[in-house]
Amino acid sequence: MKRVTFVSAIIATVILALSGFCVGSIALGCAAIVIGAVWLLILWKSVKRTDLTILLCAETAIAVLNILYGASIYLAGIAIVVAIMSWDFALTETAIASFPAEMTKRFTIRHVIRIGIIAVIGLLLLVIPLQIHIQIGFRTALGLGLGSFMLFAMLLKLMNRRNKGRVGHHRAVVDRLAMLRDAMKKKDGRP
Amino acid sequence: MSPSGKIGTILAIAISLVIAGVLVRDGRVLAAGIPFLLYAGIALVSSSESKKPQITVDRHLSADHITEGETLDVTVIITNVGPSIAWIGVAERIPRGLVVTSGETAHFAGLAEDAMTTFSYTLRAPRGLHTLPGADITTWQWMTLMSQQQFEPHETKFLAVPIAEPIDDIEIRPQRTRAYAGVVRANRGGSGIDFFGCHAYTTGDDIRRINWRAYARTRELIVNEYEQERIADVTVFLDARERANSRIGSEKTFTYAVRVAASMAKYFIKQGNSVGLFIYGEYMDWTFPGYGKDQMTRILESLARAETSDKEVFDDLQAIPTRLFPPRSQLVMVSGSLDEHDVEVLGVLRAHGYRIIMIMPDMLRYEASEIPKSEARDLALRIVTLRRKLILDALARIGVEVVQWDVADSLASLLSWTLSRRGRRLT
Repeated sequence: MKRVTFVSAIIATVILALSGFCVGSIALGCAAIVIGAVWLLILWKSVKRTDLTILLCAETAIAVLNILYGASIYLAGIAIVVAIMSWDFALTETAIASFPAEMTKRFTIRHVIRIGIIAVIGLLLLVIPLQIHIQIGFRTALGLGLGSFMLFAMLLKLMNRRNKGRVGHHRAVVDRLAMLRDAMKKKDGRP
Repeated sequence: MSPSGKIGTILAIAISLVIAGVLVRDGRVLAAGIPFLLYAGIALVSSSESKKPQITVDRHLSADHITEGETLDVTVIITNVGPSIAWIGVAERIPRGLVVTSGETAHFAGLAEDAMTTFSYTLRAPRGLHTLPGADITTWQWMTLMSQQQFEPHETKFLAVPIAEPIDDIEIRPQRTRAYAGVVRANRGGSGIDFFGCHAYTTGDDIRRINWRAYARTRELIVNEYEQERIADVTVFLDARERANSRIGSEKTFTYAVRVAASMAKYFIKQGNSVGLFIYGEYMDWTFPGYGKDQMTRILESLARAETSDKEVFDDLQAIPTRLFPPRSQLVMVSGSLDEHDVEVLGVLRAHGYRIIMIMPDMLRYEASEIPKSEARDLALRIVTLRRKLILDALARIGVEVVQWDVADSLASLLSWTLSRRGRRLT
């Protein structure tokens, strides 16, 4: 996990720095390198990893500035996706640090694969809208955005309710089984 | 970082990018927020799936009492009484001082509904009462994106009692003994092994004890008397004052003092005597005198918990409650160092008729070896040695038997020789 975290952090930094230098902004390039170096230092020294969140924000800001300066959105998108990956890997690594490496190996592989899939989907979702050009008004776009947000919120609420029901049902079954066991122990049939 | 914190951060960045995109009217900036939104969305779905795990943690120890330095096997059983968990990590919290010698204190695996998993490890513990507080549990659902952490409290206590070294032979001569037969010479004529004296024959005396040589000389029937052997009251007194116990790095005189107390208590209990323990330091920890294995366990438990203290009330030995000790009995005192005031108190105890054996663990040689050789060190060593000698001489004058134990030497052989009848005669 550590290796993947380091590699992804280096890739994100290199891409950001290159795109910064490509658009002719030495400041942005240098800032990307400095942030990358601090990021790597935090990973290496294993200090408070929550500080990486601040660095993720900074890297995103540099990526956005690169875009505004005219850098390729695809490069910036890749940098953002890889930075999110590195951030997630670093936090997961902290969470599993107290467990033996051989036990967490399978988990690590699965986590890397899942994050990789999410990263690919994220990149695709970033690329596809930029390829499709639909002319809609601002109000329509805002309405669509808010509508999708509310739909997502409702979906979450529904899932929560379903899960609560499932856990409640499970608990009821366990209680009933316990009552039955007690009654059998007493041998009088009464709970 | 907590799951809500993780989602919150990503969502905040995503919303910031959306707002920035709308403000600058640039679709590319808006698009840059898509990966964040996707991550936050999946994380939200994942966290809504994961509920508080219903886990029970059970711990089994191979013994609830061990001797210091010995190992203890710990088996942890984790049972999932709720729905299945894709990944669960259980990490035991090991208190400071305990050393894991083998096995793993953490376990990481998937756990199906009503399934059980175990792991075990071996601990080495120093003297004391130890508590294993519980385990940190981290769970992940199948997406592995969000984890839930919780502490499952499950206290298990065990005692690491001090080492009691086997001592061969110690002779004590308290002024008063108990009525029951034992191995302590009672300073009273009767049936026994050692010759005590003679008296004129009276009716009822055993004719096998008539001293025929004396009869041949005096033409009077004289009977030999032997010294009775009985059990005695012994109080082991452990000086737990901070100032009486020096500390050199990680080594403490008190560790050795506790070992001496345990060894002496074990010896006297083995001889059938009534043994009590008094620890003077944090408070007056008094183990009421008794006999047998149960009493030995009680004493070892008290010694396992013993710690040094710098309480002002117990700064000198004046506060010793002599009424607790059986009158004119044997006191075995263990102390790292004493001063003039302490000698005075011991003098008073001697005047009350107590027999006192003072055992002093000596770390001077070890301490000196830890300090680089210099003129100042040699001078300091000389001063300390002279002061110690003065105290020892003062103790000897009031009739206290003093044994200095250099901790580098064997305790058992030193005591077995110095306090034995033969050793006393020769030294």
